[in-house]
Amino acid sequence: MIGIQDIASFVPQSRVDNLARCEQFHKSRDFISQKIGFVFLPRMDKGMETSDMCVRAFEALQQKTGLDPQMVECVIVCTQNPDGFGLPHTASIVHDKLCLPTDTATLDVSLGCSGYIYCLNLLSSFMAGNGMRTGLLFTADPYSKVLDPQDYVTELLFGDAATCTLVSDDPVYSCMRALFATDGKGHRAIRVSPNTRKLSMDGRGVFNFTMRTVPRHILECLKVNGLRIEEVDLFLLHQASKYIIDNLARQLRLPPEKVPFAAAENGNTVSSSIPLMLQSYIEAGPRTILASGFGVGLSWATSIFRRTAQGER
Amino acid sequence: MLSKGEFRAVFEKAMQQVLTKAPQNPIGDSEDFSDYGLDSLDLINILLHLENDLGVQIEEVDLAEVNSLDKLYAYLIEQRQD
Repeated sequence: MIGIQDIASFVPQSRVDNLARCEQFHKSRDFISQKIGFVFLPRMDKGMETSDMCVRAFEALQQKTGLDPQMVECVIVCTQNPDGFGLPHTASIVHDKLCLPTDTATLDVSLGCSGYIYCLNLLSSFMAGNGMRTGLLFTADPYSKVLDPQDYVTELLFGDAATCTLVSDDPVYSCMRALFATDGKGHRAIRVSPNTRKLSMDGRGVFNFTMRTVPRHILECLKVNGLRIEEVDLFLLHQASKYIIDNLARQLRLPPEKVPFAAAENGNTVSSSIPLMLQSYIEAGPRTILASGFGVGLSWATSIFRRTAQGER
Repeated sequence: MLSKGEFRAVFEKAMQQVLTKAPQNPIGDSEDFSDYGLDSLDLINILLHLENDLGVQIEEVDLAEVNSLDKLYAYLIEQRQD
């Protein structure tokens, strides 16, 4: 059985203080801390690249697990802000920087907020299908590369971070059946404009999409896995904003403690937001976790993680 | 056609669903939403509830322009006529 063995992360020390920018963006402190929810936004240092953030996340993983890089058989980097212009693929650059073996498979996956669920399934299936035992999933999407500093809709939301998930045949969490979905008609809702090369987001459109699709998707995922909503111990939802998390919890009639908002100091870190939360449940976590990512594409994905016997030991 | 009274009832129901604390007083017809304590995220959420409850699609709207019950009602009626 292939699944999640461990997770580590890199969150840059440099960060923007959102509360110090209330007046600049004509927002109240309460609006930023209670509605958007992001008080600080990490920013990678100048001169740093997406692959460097992956390396730092790997170093943190190595410190936790003692993983020998020579054991790594497959690497996926989930990003839409790759090194340079995306050619060559960032996973190849990570491969070089980590001195991984030549017979390691590497690929990038271009997905945003749904990326972690997608890539976890891609990597697990790829490994299982090819008899592999050790793989790495990186999420690293530094939106600081494409933010427009004058646009409060995006500038107050996104933070830089990277995570590295060790996927192996000795997992503490296994993945149950996942569901995936796309609404390509909404591809303009969150995008980098070809003219300005800056990020733009239709805030209302994204909010409507989230509230209309995500609760239904979560219920469908529970159904295909034969679970009742009460049987899930924890819901790790993409940390789009505190307001969205609060409203999803209300719509699903879930107690707030089961739907954590844990991104006040990280911001919306796109595909990294779910593994950033999940990493704190590796050592000792609940039996059943539902995770759902949604955003750019429009693309959304929901999966359920079940603690294994190894995880219980 | 949707009367002003019907619209107010649907709007107030949407507000109850959106706000965590029930408002003390009813909102005035021409009262600015922000003076009443509704921010941009609340309004986006209220519009979503209005769309669901009224079965209409509210096109892209400048919330700074349509900033009171009167103005929002007039906007919806105009949009329906179009």
